[in-house]
Amino acid sequence: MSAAAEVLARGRRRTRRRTRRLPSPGLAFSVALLGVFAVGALAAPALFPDGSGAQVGAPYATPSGAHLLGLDDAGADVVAELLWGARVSLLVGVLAGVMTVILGGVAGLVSGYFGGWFEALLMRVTDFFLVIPVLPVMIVVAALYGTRLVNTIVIIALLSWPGTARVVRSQAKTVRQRLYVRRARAMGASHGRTLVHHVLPQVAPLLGASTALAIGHAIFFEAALRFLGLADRNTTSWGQMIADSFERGAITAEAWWVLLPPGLAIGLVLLSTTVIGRRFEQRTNPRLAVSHLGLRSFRRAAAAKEAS
Amino acid sequence: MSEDAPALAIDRLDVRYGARKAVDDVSVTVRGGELVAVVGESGCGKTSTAMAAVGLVRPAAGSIRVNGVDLVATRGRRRRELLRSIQLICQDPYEALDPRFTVEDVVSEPLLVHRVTTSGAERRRLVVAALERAGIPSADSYLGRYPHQLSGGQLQRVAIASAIVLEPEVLIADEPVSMLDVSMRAGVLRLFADLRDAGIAIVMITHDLITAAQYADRVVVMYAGRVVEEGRPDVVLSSPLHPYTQALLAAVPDPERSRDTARPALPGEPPDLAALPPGCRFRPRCAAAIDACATIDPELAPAGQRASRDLHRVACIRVEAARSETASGRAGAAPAEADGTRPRLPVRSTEGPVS
Repeated sequence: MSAAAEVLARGRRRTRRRTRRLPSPGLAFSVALLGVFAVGALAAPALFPDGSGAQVGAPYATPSGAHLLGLDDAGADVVAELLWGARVSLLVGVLAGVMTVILGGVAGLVSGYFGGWFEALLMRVTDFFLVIPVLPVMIVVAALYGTRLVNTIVIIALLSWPGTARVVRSQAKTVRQRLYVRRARAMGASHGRTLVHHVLPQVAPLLGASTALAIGHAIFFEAALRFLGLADRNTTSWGQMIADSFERGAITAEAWWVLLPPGLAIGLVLLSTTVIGRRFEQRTNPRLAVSHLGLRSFRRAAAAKEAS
Repeated sequence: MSEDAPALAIDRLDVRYGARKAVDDVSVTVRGGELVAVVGESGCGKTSTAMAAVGLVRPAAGSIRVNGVDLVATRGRRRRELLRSIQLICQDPYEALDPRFTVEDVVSEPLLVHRVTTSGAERRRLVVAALERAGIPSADSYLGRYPHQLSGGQLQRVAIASAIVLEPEVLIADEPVSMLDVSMRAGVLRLFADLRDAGIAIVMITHDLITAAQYADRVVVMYAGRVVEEGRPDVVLSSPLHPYTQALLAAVPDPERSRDTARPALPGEPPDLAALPPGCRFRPRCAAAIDACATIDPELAPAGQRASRDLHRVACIRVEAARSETASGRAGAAPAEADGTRPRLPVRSTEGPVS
């Protein structure tokens, strides 16, 4: 090996080690942030037993010791609104996200593993979903079927699953070709057993990543629907808070403490789910991680690590 | 299921990938306690034959009978029962085992798939017995290990253990030692010989003629999806009749052959399987070809010395012509003998010291 090549190789090794060992403040921050919101959402009834929208002072009262983020147009505590809103936002996010991944995961696994006409059909369906503009469809569906929370969740999941299905399908397709999967079939193992024992474990990290990303997107879409007035007004959510502050003049009143917190909350949660999802993906994507490349490369990498 | 049916009888098998005929009218029979080596270059259809035999590839025509029952025509539960008695050993042991499975998981999977026993203790006993039979000493200490903690030779033995744990009647081994270190090969090959001696029918796919000569009871030479020659290894390798077998043997390195002796190189490439030439498919590369070879597609027919006629079969019209010409005189004149390029018997071990 020439000196230059040696230096390059050493550099590569070092980079790899660094990416693998780097303590990840982004990941820790993301997990902590989601944890705080989740705990806050769960504790909302205990901390603010009056529920959302309870008047505690003058409209647009500035932040103070008693009300850390001030009061909104109805004189309700913004912190209380934020935590009560988190319940709806996170609930919609988690339910729609999980539903997205279940729908997309099953469709992707089955079509990637079996191939054939089902795969062809599914790919045309996802093509269709990928080119239709999501928001207008959501508006139409919400207008037709009403604005109940369940509808919102179902609509979001129905419009999001094809993306997950595509990613899962491509992974299932590569795993299906692995020799140990073929060997299991030759042994006499049923398709179901092969899928559950050999294919699913290889796809599972990808499902984790998809879930994190889907939750973030679902929260964002929920806020978008709220902003367009296509949601249940009896409940509040972060998107509802933003919509209200626009509609009821929080901006002209220069009440930034009403507008900013829900916006920041949505942004931070979306960011956190993205960071967590990417992290999962890094551990799954063969191009990003050595550990997933199959045994020989794994052993080679381990040997290189030992040698350096 | 008749008593005297061979363990594995592949009959007139056709495997196609689109327009390409990977396997064309191949028949191979293997009895219990017999080790048959299938040799040929890459793309000659030997792996496709193996994949069809274990049910991974659907043949376009022909039958695959295991103990007299046709795998191709069987469905559902009976097919799974058949698959139980014919097991595959893959070429690449690093890829053939699920990296998330421990040795115990790998070897007990066939038992779980075929619901052999509900008792965990009994299952473990069978797993340990299979591992020990496959030549892994103190198998207990290996049960919890993962594939990446084992060497290639050990992995292949684990794969063999998982293939024999169901006590199958037929083993299909697709180049089982080509990925292993040379020092490990002899041991794994001897293991196959032991399994053969225990009564299992074994099909070993290889492109190593020396291995075939040493361990096989019968050699089947394939070219472009066809069987071109078949017989006992000592007969086939000492007096090969088909020009392709002769060329294969001539390519085996031989330290005793003078360097001045020109080695007849095989010209050209194997034919396009989607557009096979008319007549004999080896004709474009054959030095002994005559005009008739372009029109007659030769059948596999008995040939050679009278004593081994029932065993030695070849698909070449030159051999048939030579035989009928000299029918009253000496039997078994072959093109190789006519032009004097008959190769030497290359039966010599290339293996390392016995491990």
